[in-house]
Amino acid sequence: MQRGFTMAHIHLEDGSFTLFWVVVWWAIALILISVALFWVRSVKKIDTRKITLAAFCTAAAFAIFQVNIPLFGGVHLNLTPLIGILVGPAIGSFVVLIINILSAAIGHGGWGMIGANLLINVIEVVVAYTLFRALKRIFSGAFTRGGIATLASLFCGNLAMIVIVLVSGIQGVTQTPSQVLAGLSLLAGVNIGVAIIEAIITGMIIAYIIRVRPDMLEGERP
Amino acid sequence: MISTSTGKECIIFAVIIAMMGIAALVAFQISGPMGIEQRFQHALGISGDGGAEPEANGFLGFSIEGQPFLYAGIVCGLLILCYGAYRHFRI
Repeated sequence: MQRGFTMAHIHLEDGSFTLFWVVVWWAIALILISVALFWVRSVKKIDTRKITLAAFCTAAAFAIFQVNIPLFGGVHLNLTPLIGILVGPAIGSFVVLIINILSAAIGHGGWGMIGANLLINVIEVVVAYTLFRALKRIFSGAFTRGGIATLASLFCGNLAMIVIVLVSGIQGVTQTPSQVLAGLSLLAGVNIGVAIIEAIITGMIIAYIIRVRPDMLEGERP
Repeated sequence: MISTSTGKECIIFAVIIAMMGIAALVAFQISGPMGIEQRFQHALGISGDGGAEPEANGFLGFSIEGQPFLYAGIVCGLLILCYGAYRHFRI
C-alpha cells in the first residue's frame, strides 16, 4: 500500500483517519455526488458525446494515476483539471468518483479515504472548469487558459488536502498542528512543481482538441 | 475568439510557471531530497516503519486490503448499486 501524497490525492491507508472523519468526508462527498446527480437528471438530454468523453477521461485518468513519474521522489499526474474542462463539474464528479473507487480497489489509497479524495478531486474539477471559462475574457488562447486553470485547480486541491488533514488529524501523529501545517506546506510546494508539468500537458491537450475538434468544448472554436 | 495563445499570453504563463517553479524548488530544497512518501512522513512526524499503519483487525472495511474476495464482493455490490440507480433514475 502506498503511503503519502502525490499531487493532491491522499494516499493513506484505512485507519489513518478516525472512523468519525471517514464518515464525515464520505457524507460530504455523497452530498456532492447527489448534487451532481440532481443536475444531470435536470438536464433533459445529455450530449452523448460528453458521455463518451467522460468514459475516455475515466480510463485515461485511472491509467495515469498508476504511472509513477520519478520526479521529486515519485509522483503521478491527476488529469482532474482536464476532466473538469472537458466534461464539466457534474459529470466530472462521477468520473473522479469512479477513479477513486477503482484506485482504492487496487490499493491506491484506502477505501475510507475515497470521501476525502473525492472532495479534493471535485474541487480541482470545479476550479478548472470555472477558471477555464472565466479566463476567456482575459486570455484568448486555450493553451494559456488551460494551463493557468490547471495550476490554479491543483493549487486549490493541495490547499483542500492540507485543510482535510489538519481538520481530521492522522492517527499516530505526534506533531503539533502548526508543525504539520509547515510540513504539509512544503509538501504542497513540491507538488506545485509537478502541477507545472500537468499544466503544460493539459494546456497542450486542450489546445489540440480545440484545433481538431472544437465541437467537443462548448463555446470554443479554432 | 481564436484559441491560439498570443506571445503576451505565453509570457504571462511562463512567468507564472517560473514563479511557481522557484517556489517548488525552494520547498524541495528545504524539505530535502527525499521521496514523496518520506517527505509526507517527515511532515507529519511519522516514523518510516509504518507510522499510523492500522492493526489488521479492522472495522467495517478497514481490513479488506489484500482480500480479493472482499474486493470482488464490493465491486459486485457497486455494480448492482449502479444498475439499480440507472434503472430507477433513468439517467
